[in-house]
Amino acid sequence: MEDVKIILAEDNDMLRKSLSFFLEQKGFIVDQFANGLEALNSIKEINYDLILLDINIPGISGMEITQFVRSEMYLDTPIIIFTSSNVEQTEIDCFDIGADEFIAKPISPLVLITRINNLLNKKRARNQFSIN
Amino acid sequence: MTVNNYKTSSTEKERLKALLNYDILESGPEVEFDNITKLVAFICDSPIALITLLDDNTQWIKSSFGFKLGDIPRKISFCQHTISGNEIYEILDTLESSIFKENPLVTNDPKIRFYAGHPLTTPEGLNIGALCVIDQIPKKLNEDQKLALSTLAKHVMSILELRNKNLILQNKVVDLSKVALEKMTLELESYKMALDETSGVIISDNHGNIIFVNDETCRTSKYSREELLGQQSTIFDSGFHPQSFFDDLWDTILNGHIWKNEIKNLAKDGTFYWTDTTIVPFLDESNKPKKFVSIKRDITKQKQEENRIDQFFSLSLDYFCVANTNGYFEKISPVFSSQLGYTNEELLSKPFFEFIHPEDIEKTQKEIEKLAQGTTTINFKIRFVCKNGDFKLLSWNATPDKETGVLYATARDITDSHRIHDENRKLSLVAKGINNVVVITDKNRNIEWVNQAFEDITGYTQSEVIGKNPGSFLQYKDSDEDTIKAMRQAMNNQETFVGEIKNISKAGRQYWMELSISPVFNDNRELLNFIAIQTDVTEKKRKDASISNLIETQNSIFNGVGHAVMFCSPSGIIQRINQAGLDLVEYAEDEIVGKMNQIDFHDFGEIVTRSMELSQELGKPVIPGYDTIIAKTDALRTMDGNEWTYISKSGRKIPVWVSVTCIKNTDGNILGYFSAAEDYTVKKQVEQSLIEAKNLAEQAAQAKDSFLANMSHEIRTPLNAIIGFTELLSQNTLDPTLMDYVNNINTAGANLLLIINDILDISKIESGQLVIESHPVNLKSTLKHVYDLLKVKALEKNLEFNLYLDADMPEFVIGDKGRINQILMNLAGNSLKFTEKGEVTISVKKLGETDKTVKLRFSIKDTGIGIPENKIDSIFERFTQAEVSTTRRFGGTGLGLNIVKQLVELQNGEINVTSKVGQGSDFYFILEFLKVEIPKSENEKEIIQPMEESLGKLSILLCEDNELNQHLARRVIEKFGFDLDIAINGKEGIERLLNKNYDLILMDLQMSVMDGYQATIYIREVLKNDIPIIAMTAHSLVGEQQKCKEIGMNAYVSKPFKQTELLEQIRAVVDKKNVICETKKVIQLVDFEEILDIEISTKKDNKMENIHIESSPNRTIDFSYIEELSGGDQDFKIEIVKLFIQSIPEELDNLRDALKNKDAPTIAKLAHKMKSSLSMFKLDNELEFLRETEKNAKSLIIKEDSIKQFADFQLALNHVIELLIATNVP
Repeated sequence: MEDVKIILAEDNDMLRKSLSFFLEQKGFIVDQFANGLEALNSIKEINYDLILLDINIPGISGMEITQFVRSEMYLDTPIIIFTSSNVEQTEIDCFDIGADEFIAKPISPLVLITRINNLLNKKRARNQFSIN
Repeated sequence: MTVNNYKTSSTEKERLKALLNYDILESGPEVEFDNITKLVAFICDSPIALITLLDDNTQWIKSSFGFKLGDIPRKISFCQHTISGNEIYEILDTLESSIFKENPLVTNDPKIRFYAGHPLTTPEGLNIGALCVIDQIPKKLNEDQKLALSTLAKHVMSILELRNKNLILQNKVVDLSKVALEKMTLELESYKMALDETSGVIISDNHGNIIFVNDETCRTSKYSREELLGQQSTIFDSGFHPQSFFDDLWDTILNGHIWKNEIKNLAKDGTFYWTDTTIVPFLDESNKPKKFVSIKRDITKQKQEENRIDQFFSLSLDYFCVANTNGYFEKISPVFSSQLGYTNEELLSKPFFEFIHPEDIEKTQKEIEKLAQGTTTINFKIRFVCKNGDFKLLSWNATPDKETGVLYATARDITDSHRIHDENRKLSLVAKGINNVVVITDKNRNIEWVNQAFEDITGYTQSEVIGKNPGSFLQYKDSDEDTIKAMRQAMNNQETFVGEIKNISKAGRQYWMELSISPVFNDNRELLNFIAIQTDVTEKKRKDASISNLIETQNSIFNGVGHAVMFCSPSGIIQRINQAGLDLVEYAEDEIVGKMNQIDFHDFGEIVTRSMELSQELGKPVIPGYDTIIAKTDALRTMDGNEWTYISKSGRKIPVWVSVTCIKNTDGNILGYFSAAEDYTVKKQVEQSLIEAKNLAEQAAQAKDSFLANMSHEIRTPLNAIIGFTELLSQNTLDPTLMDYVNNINTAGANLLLIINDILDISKIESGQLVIESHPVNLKSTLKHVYDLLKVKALEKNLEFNLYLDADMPEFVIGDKGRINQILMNLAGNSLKFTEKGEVTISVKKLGETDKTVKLRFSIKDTGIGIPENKIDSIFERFTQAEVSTTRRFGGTGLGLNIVKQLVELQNGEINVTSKVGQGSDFYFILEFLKVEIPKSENEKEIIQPMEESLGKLSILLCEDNELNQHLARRVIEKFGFDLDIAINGKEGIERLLNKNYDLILMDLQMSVMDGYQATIYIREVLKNDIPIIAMTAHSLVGEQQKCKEIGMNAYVSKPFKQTELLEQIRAVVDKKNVICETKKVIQLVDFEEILDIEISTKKDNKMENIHIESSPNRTIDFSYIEELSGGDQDFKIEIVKLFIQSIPEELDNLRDALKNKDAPTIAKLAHKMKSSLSMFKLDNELEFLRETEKNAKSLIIKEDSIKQFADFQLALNHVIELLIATNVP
């Protein structure tokens, strides 16, 4: 399996470290950021396979990063947004601006890994299709 | 230039006037001006300097320096030229000047050769004089000198000006003081006049010579003013006052003090007059009196008055005295000394108590005390001791002077009269003192004397009745003739009469007297008087009557009342009992009264129980016994009612309601207790039968519930099989026709299930438990489904059956598919049932929509039998059909429309019907739905996924006694890829469980031998096995799911089950179980046993010490989430725990500060951030606080109690941190 690079932007240290650990254990390479701006700068530099964003991250919010990635950088990198509002509208907004998935906090690791795998699979399929 | 032109100057007149105004021409030399002339001479280096003033003829020299001449005529003056200009006038050399070379002041001394002068100019611009310098040699002033000259000239003027102003002010002040003086003088004049009107004024010098007298003095002294002036003031001496009197006078006034007293004066004609005299000494500078002013007010008239009183005093033969508060006489009339034999001096020098008979001193003291309080003494009789040892009985009247306390008293000597009437007095005192009426008549029965009591009762005074026959005005006109006759008879016979008679008072009040009339004889047995002693017995008579009435009434109540009434002594011994009481307890009165205690009738067991209750209620021990009965009435001081059981003589137990009241006398002493017992037997029976009826009703309700439950079970069990197998069948590849059949069976089964559920709905609706679900519903397909199902029926009856859908109606809405289906099936089914020919149409029309909702009108219209108008209102009621005969013709339960109506209303809709008999009915209802996007997967067939890897190959035990269901379950479970063992009841299930490790049990609830509940309880409580158990039941009654949960089941699947639902539940419980297992592993890894040990020991300690206080909750920490993330990596876990321990305290501090500062944005931010940390350890309770706090803060709400809640939150987190540290994580 080729290296999969994931960027994780989450300001809660414990959660960020935990998720990084978890994902690294699952064999992903994780770049973690506690600040939205730094995360976005990194996205601009490195070609990530998947982007995980906390909706409320300080600096630039997860929504703003998503919007930038989609409408300024024209990237179709799968994006998952972590929400905590449990409000439908937020989730719909996430989709509207181009996120692929949202996961409500507290984040279930199983759900997270499933969603990640799903998105990566879809991406692979898409790539294959386009290659073919 | 001419010399004398000034008189022609137009301003000369004004100039002169101004000059005069300054008033300085003749005021002589002044230092102020001399200093100026010296200065100007010095500055101008000239031997002569002058200040000159010029009137019409003369030049006045106000000040000069070095100039020997005096004032000079104006016409030869130099300054006359100066004042005609406004600048310095300078003559450098007079010999060179045609004007001055002939001037005598030039030709002769002082031989002026040089002159320079500056005019003195008033503010009005008039030159009144000049400041000038003169030399005897020709010269010229330089500019500085000129400046000095003009400046100093101005200075001279300003001095003059200032003076003038001062002068004006001075004059003003003088004027003002003059006015004030005049005013004062006027005022003094008026005082003097007033004084002259009322008082004599004499002023004498320090030698006593009269130097002034006013008119009043002349008038009162009858001397003329001339006769008095120059005389000594002793001219008025009447010789009345002793020398000491005048010595004191002179002493006082010579020392400069005011003297005041009354003086008796001698007038010119030899008469005397009294004056109230005030002498005021006037002091000179050395404080010695230089004259004296006497002011004398004539008080002769007052004095004469006093003298008259004095005379009255001294001439009276009565005892008059004035006594002071010290107990001495101050003034006494001569009678005191003449009658008592003491001298005046003796009487005045000793306390008056010394003259009072020793036996009377005490009462005198008391009387005087009363006097001191302001009471007047009247006829107070005491004995005074004469000098010769005799006594005088004096009757005193005395009045105190309220201000001074001085007593004014008079007395009469009643020694003689007293002695005469001594005996009578004693008698009358007795008669007076007693309450009885005493009347003394003469032998002719006319009143001689009556006492106070007589006056009080009859309203007549003694003076009104003396000489009258008592009977003539007192006797009541309807008095008993016999009594009066007997009284007359006795009196005629001079015998004593005793009897009662009714009298009438002056005011008309009737009263009864008990009277005793006795004749009084002298020593010779001659009749002197009759004495009648009478007592008012009206009250007594009235009381007698009312008491006898009362007793009678009470007795009749006592005996007549149906309750058993007892009166007991304070210890419970029965004193009285009424007939009903005797009847109740079956004893005879003499067996009870005075012998038995009320407690003897009681069931003692009941008394003991009640005692315990009362001890608790009243907070003090109540000893079983009579106390038990009276404890409450004693404690609460009110009547107490309680239910008891009496035991009669024959041993009959009688339920009674006993009311007990404590009876006290007026002093509050307990006389005993009054109790009334009501036979409760009948009431008890009624009560019992009511309870039974209630139980029956409850049983009936229970029976109904259980009937419904059983029925639903009985129908559902086979139905389960039908649906289950159909479902299995449909998963096979079938040819289209077969698939169609299978689908139809499936649909019919599902509908049948719905119908059963409908029946159950009644129970749910009744208990308010029916919940309308909200899911996306494909309305069109639902309607189509109903149509398809009923179409068969329509075909059978050869009816036209239509479904019209509004083109605009949404395909999907949020709603309860089952309930909509149910309503439509019911209504359309009804229509088909009641329609023999014609058509049935289901139509849906969109009435309107908003952004979020859509309103639809559903109509089911038929051409059936219709509903009579008078039934239309009740058609939706339960068990109602249009006609009784309808039931026979068409069948049905009569529940359908009622359920429909309730279901529509539960969805906030409204249902109505229009109908005509024989023409058909139109049932229509309107529902409003939330709109929804079309869910993608809705139309996809539910596909059973092959088992996910995560679940693995589970080993499942099914407890089920129905073979068909066993079969079905086996097929389904095995299709999932799990192993399945089957037990036919709970007992067998437990046996299997003991022999094999299962992952999961599927538990039917209704089984023979041992049902699902019993089996679950056994597994949980006895085997202590926490294996997941999923309940499977065909019951779907309210509360059952809850019951399953309570006894420890993990999930609940209702039969007939959907495969997906069952799989979901299996997955749910197995996942949870796995998580728990993993957690357990973790705990072992981090040596959690220690904590457990600590917790257990804490619990033990608590038990041992029997502490009721809840210590901090025993909690363990859920590491499952971290475990899931870490995959069991120990180091990672430690790192996270460390992070938590490090970060939380600071975050807590920050949050607390933000809460205190009511900083909503920060609160929201912090709470949000902490949420993620707390989620790591699944601290759900604490998370709840954060969620709530964040939510509130975002809406800018900061609750008052959030600080308090925060304290709890902090405490809990600190506890978590302690636990985490205790896990030995480094």
